Amino acid sequence: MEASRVKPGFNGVGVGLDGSSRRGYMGGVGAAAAGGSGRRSPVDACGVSLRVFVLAATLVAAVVMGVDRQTRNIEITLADTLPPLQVPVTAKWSYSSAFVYFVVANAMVCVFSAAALAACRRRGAVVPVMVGDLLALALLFSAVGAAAEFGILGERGNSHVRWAKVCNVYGAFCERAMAAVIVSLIGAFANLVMLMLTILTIHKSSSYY
Amino acid sequence: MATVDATTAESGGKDAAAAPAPPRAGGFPGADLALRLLLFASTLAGLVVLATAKQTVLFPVTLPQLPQVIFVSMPAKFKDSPALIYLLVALCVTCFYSLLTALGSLKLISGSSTPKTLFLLLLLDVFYAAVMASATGSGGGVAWIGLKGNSHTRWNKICDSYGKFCRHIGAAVFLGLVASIVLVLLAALNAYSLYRRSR
Repeated sequence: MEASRVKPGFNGVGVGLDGSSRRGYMGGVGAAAAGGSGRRSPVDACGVSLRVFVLAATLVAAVVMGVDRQTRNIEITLADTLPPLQVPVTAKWSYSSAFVYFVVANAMVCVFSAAALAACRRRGAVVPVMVGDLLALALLFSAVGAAAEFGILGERGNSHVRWAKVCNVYGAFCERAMAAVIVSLIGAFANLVMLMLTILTIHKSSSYY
Repeated sequence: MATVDATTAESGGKDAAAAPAPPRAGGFPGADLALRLLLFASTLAGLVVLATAKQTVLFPVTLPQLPQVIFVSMPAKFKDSPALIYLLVALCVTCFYSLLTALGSLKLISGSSTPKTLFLLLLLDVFYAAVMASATGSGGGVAWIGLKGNSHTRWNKICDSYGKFCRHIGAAVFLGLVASIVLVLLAALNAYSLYRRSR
């Protein structure tokens, strides 16, 4: 009964989809369902590679933002007769709530990706992994939005509310933060593509296709 | 679950003899329509609240050469911040999208839909969930700095001077958060029903 759900013409040819990986996945799912054998489904290469990429990207972004700090010595002249004072000023990532949220969100998505990689062979885990992927998507995108906004405020300031820009003083700090945000953005888009691929896979194996 | 399998194993799940509560061809269409109407309501409200966020406050300024205190008016509008402009645009687009897909959901309820409808709705829901989440993140970041200030970068808080403006922005960000949560719920619901149909 399970095998009749998948259209006969589908298992043989890839119906224009990319690669043998998807055909292998579909054939494997049909065979495994028909045979009733075990709880392991064959691995979908595209999905796994995208998930590994998301894991790597969020890990790199969290680490780069987490070690981001810069100390500079600013010279202050009190009077003409005295030599200028050297005042060290520091910029750390933890000084901004947006960056803290960014690091925490990336760490959470990283841990979830590792758990999903460990559980992706089990057939019963498809729905929890998909729901978790949705939550990870929302988390990642909101973290990127918040950190990018804080970066834009630091780069340009906001003249209407008199918030001065800070990146002219802390150049390297701003550059590292921007790199972390860009890497996380790429990871977020990879998560989106992976989720869409999962939905496409489920739709292709649906009985009404 | 047995009724679901029995229903989908038959002609197409559009059997009128099936119980109305379990998912039919569309899968939870009643909850789908209700969530989409909630989405429309929240994005419309957020849109209106954000667009009307405007306040002018007079600040007393003492200049040394003038004897009396003069008042300088400083207006605050949502257009001052690029994050709030992005939030407004995202709310507009999601409002329009929720209207269109509420019609699609009506099609699901009436049963005259193709199987591609659910799939397309799910794809678009996921995409708009991402857009709305990023807009809420940016708007929330700016609102947080406006509320608490940031002593390290010497950005002072503005919410004790601009009370009404801050309340509007806060309400708009909260409604954006509600819209993101509703979109994620919709996507999860549709994904679950799509998955059930494939099993």
